[in-house]
Amino acid sequence: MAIELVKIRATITVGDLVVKTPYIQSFNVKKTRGQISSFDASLKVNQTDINNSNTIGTVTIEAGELDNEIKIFTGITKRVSVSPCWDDPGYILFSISGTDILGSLDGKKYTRRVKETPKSWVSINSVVREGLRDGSLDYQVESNTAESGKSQKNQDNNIGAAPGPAGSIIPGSAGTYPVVMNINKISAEEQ
Amino acid sequence: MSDWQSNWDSWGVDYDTWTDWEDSFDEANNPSVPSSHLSDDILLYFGITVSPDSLGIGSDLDGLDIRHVDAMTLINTSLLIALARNGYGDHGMYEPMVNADGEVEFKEIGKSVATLTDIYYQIQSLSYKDSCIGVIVRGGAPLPIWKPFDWRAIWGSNKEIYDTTRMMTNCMKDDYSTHAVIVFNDPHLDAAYETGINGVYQNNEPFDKILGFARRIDPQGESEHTRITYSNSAIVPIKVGQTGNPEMGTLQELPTFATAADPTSPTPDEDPDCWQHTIDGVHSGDGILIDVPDSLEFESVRGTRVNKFVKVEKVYVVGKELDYCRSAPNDESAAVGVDLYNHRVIIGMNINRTKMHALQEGRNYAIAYEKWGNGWSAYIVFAKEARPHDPAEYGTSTSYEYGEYGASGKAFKGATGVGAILPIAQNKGILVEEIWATVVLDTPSISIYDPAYEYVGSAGANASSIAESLTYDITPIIMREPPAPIIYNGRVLDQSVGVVDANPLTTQDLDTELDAVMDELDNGTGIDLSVPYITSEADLKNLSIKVQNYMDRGDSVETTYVCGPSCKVELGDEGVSGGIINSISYSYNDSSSYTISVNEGSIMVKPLAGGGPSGPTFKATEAYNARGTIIGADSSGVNFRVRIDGYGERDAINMTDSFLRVNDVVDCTVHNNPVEA
Repeated sequence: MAIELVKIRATITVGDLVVKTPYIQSFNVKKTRGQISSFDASLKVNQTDINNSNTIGTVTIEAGELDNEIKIFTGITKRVSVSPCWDDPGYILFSISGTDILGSLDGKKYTRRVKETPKSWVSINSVVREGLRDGSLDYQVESNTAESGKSQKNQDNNIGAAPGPAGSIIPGSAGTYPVVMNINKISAEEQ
Repeated sequence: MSDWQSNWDSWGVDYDTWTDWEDSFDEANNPSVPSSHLSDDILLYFGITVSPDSLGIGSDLDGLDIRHVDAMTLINTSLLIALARNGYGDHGMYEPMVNADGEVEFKEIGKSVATLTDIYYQIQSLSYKDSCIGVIVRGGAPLPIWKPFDWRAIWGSNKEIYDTTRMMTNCMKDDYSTHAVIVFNDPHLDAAYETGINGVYQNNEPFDKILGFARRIDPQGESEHTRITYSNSAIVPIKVGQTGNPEMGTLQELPTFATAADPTSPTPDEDPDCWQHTIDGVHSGDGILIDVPDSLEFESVRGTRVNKFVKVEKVYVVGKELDYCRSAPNDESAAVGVDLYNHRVIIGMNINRTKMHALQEGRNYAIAYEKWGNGWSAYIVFAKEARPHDPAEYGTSTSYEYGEYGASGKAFKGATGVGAILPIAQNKGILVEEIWATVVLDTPSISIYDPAYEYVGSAGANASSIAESLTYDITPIIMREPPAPIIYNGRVLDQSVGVVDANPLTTQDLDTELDAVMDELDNGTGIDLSVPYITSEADLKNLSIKVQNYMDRGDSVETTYVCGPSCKVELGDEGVSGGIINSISYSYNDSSSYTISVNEGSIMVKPLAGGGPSGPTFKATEAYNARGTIIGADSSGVNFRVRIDGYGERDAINMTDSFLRVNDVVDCTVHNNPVEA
């Protein structure tokens, strides 16, 4: 296998600063699924160019063979540093690193409230007291004439009454049936 | 169509059974939120450009309450729902990526095939990977839904009606009914799940929550004087014996004070024999049986025969009052002896009118109870309260003769007859035609009182017909709260197994399907993914199947290509070895090299977006209890207009046993009363 020479070229644009081969010392671009893509680059830049350029903003990286450069990355600069270029005093080493645009979402939170109120409804749980109504007269049965001739008036007759207050047909319904029974009760008082 | 509408159709219940508040509650089940694609919205909100081809891919996450959630997580969540909602095999998973122009794309992984060119060399590595046993996907709990009303008669199919007018009013007139009672078996209104009791309504749905039972009481033919009362016990009139000359058993002598003490005794007032005819209680053999129908007396509760008989409340006889009743000797010899066969019963009757007579227990009768099995038989033992030393036995088929006091005009002195005579008050009696007993049963009843309110005509006194036509329906108010669905490899796990029933006679195997699945996952590789923002079982099934296939896709081979500067490759494309392009590394060194390193491997490179937001947040509410006054009622007998003290007028639903009327003061609860605006 022979070694083949490939002429490579690269262009990195930082804001309005454009740096091309051979002033690009190095760069790395890392793209991984599920992660924010990142890049770093080391550029050899004339100090005057730095001073006259806006180097904050979008970064684009193009690289490839001579006359066939391919744009491989567009992102944002997140860190910039400058260091002296010892072998060429007219220049400085301009180091930048950053991420793709999704990196700007780092730490960002999003809110969209959906709040609902359950519908109110009303239930009647019990009767505290019945409403006022007209009264009624009790049933009366005719009197019997006892052997002694004394009128036998029916008193204290709780026929049909429930095992509760007299006059209620059903246990637990005291006061709901204002009916007093008036059926002949066998009474020893009338002998 | 919303979920509850689908359920409604499946239940086959008429829409008309809903009331306004139910419809309104449904509004909360379908909260209106802007319909959009959340992944797009978030990026645009933060000023990030989205590739036009990628717009509209993410889900809108409708109905989710999002509070301070990481933006990137939300984007992935939005895309994951898109994966779940798309049918299996149609689409893969989407991931956000940034293209070379700096635009965000939502790229479908593995859809495009990479054209790797200018490859210098490649290296492959293999790592052992267990096959994926399964994928559990835990969704979000759906919103609770109201089930439609299911009205049923409270008495089921067993309804007995008794007219007690004669006992209550002593009126023997036909077609005159002021008192009636409906007796039925206990409806067993229990909110618990699977009680095993065959009541009117049984909660057989493990995720149904019964809030209470509403009532619909709708009488026909009632008046303002009519009163309807529900009770948990019943007094039932039972006719004993036949009509005319009913069997009365053997009448028993009442204990009487011994007046024949020896006057020569030194202490005549301390005669130890104070009482004559003392008895040690009555015996069933001397009485007549009160035959309570088995359908009323017994009930089957989980196969147990439950006796509902409480006691005999009272005994009545229907008959004519005898103002004079005694036996008399037929001749002089009989007058000095005790010859039963030489006496005759003499009666007198001033009023020839049949009446209902309530008897005194302990004086006119006593009850003898005879136990058998788990039941009781009750017998009426009548007393003979005749003149002291009256030799006549009285009771059934007693021959009698009218004396000179037969002033009713119906019979004349010397007229004879045969009938059942109950001697009372020592010298009176009742010519008995019918015997009735009221028994107390431990079973619910509804009593109707409908007095006659006009003397002439038939206004009122329709208690029996009201009882016949009365509608007394109940319905449970049910809120269905199913749990969050759990899917395993496309199969919905049955979570009802873990719900404990309320039947003490059953034993349940509470090992759930989830337990079995977790045991299975212990033996290998699997994924337990929580996605509380997905509630659709179909979506969750799709998701679990797709994830499982992704887990098993490929052969665990990772290939690293080192390519020259002409290589054009994108993340997420399918590689030449069948894997997915997972990472690309561009490395440039001036005067040295520029290589592009491409890694191809498994489609699953990171955990899927688990957790996250869930459904809408319901504002805080409270239950407000207050008294109110009914000011109006609708014709259905269900809804009432109530003026609640300190609150205002509201429509309320009847959840009491009471027959409500305007002006009644009632205790109300305002449910879901908002406290948060």
